[in-house]
Amino acid sequence: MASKKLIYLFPCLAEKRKKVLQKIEQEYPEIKIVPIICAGRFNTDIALKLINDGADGIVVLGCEPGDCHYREGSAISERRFLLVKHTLKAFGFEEERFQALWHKPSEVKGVMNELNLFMEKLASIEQKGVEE
Amino acid sequence: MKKQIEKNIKSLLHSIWKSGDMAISWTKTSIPGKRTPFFIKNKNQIDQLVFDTFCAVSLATYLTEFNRKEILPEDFKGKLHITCKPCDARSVMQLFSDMQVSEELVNLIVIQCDGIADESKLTKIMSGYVSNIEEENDRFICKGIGGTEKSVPIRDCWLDKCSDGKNCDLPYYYGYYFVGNETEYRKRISNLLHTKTDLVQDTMSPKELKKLVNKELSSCIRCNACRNVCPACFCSDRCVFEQPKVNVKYLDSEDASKNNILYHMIRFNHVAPNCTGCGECERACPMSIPLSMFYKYFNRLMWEEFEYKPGKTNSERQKLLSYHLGEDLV
Ligand code: SF4
Ligand code: SF4
Ligand code: SF4
Repeated sequence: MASKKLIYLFPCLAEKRKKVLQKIEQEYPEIKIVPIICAGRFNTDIALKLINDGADGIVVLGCEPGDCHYREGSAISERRFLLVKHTLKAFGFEEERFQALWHKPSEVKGVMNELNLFMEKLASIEQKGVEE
Repeated sequence: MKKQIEKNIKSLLHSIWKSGDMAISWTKTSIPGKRTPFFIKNKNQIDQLVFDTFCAVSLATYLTEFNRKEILPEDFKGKLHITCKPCDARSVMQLFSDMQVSEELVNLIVIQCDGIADESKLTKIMSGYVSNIEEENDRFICKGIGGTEKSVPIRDCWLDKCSDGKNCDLPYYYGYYFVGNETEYRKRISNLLHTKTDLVQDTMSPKELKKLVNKELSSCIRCNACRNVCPACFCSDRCVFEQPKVNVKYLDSEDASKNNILYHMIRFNHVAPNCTGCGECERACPMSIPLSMFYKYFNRLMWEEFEYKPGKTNSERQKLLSYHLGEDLV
C-alpha cells in the first residue's frame, strides 16, 4: 500500500545548506520543505498542529548544538523537542513522527542517511497500524 | 484543631496588617461544603475568613491577575497576604521563579494541612444534595435529603493530590509564615509514601491511548476553565488561542474533537515546565475530564529528564527557558 505521505521538513537557513536541500528535493519529492531562520526558532506548536491534522512526520534540520549561528538556539530547542516528543506520546501519537536532525550545514551524506532511517520508521509505524 | 488554626490565621493577619494591605483567603458560601475565594480589603473583614477541610480552591491563580493589577483596589499600597496550603505555596513559588509576580509584594502564609476534601466527591457519595456537614475526628457526619444521616470517612473525599502526597512538601523558601506546627507537619509528610506513579501512557499502545484520549476529550466544551484556573497558564490575553492577528489559527479544524485534542496538547506543552501538579484544572473542569492523566505524565517527565520539580524554590529557572553554553543538554 503506497499511500501518499505528508511530511514536512523545516531546515534552518544556513547558507551552505542549499546543496543538501536540493538533494532532498530530488530524492524525496513528497517532502514539503519550509525554511526557517534557526532551528531554535521553530515553533513546536506548529508541529503539534500539523501532526494532529494528519501529517505523517515532521523533521527539523538544524546545526549541532554549540555549532549554531545563534549560539544557544539549537541547544534550547533540543530540550523543547524532547518535550514535543513526549507531548505526542502522552496523547497517543507515535513520538517517532517528530524528529530533529543535527548536522553541519555542508553535510549531505549524513543527512540523507538519517532521513532514510526516518522514512523507514514512518513506514513501519504505518505497517503496525494496518496490522493491529 | 482546625478551629485553632483558623483562629491563628486571623490573629496573624491582625498583627501584621498595615493600612493599604490586601489579603486573599477563603470564606463560606450558601452551599455547606463549598468555600469560595475571599478578598479582604480592610482590617474588619479579617474575621470573616474561613479555613477548614473544604478549602480546595488554590488561590495562587489570583497572583497572575494581581500582576496585571486586575484585582487590586485603588488604594492598594502595601502587601498582598495570601493564605496557602503547602501545595498551593509551591504554585506561588513557581510564579516567583517565572517572574510573574514580585516577591516584595507578596506575603505568603502557609497553613498546616492534613488533607482537603472535595465537595463534589462528598455529594457523589451522598448521592445528591447535602444540607449539613459536621466534622468529627476523621469523619464527616452529613445530613442528606429528607434528614438521612450518614457518616463518611474524610479520606474518601480527599482531593486526588492529597492521597498520593507528592504535592505536600514545603518549598525551600525563607520568607513565609507557617500557621500550625511545622515540625509536626514535616514529620507527617515524610511518612507519606512516595510511590511511583502508574500512568496509562506506560501500558497502552499508541492506538489504544489515542482511542482513550479521543473518548475523554470528546466531551470537552472548550470553556477555558482549565486554562483560566491554572497558575502555570499565565499568558492571559496573550494566549496563543486568542490571537486575532497571528497567521496560524490553531483551532480551525472542522472536526471539533481534533480541536479539543490540539487545545490540550498545546496547553500541556506550554505548562509542562511549570506545572506543579496542583490539580486545579481537573477540579475546575465542568465536564469532569480526567486531565490528571496528562499533567502527571509531564510532572514525572520533568523530574526524570531534568531533575526539576516545579515550585521547589523561588529562584530555580525552568530548564526549557534557560541554557548556558557547556551545560548538559538533557
Ligand atoms: S475545563 Fe474541561 S471542558 Fe473546559 S476547556 Fe478545560 S477540559 Fe474542556
Ligand atoms: S496544568 Fe493543572 S495541575 Fe498543572 S499547574 Fe495547571 S492547573 Fe495545576
Ligand atoms: S495555553 Fe499556552 S499560550 Fe495559552 S495561556 Fe496557557 S500557556 Fe499561555
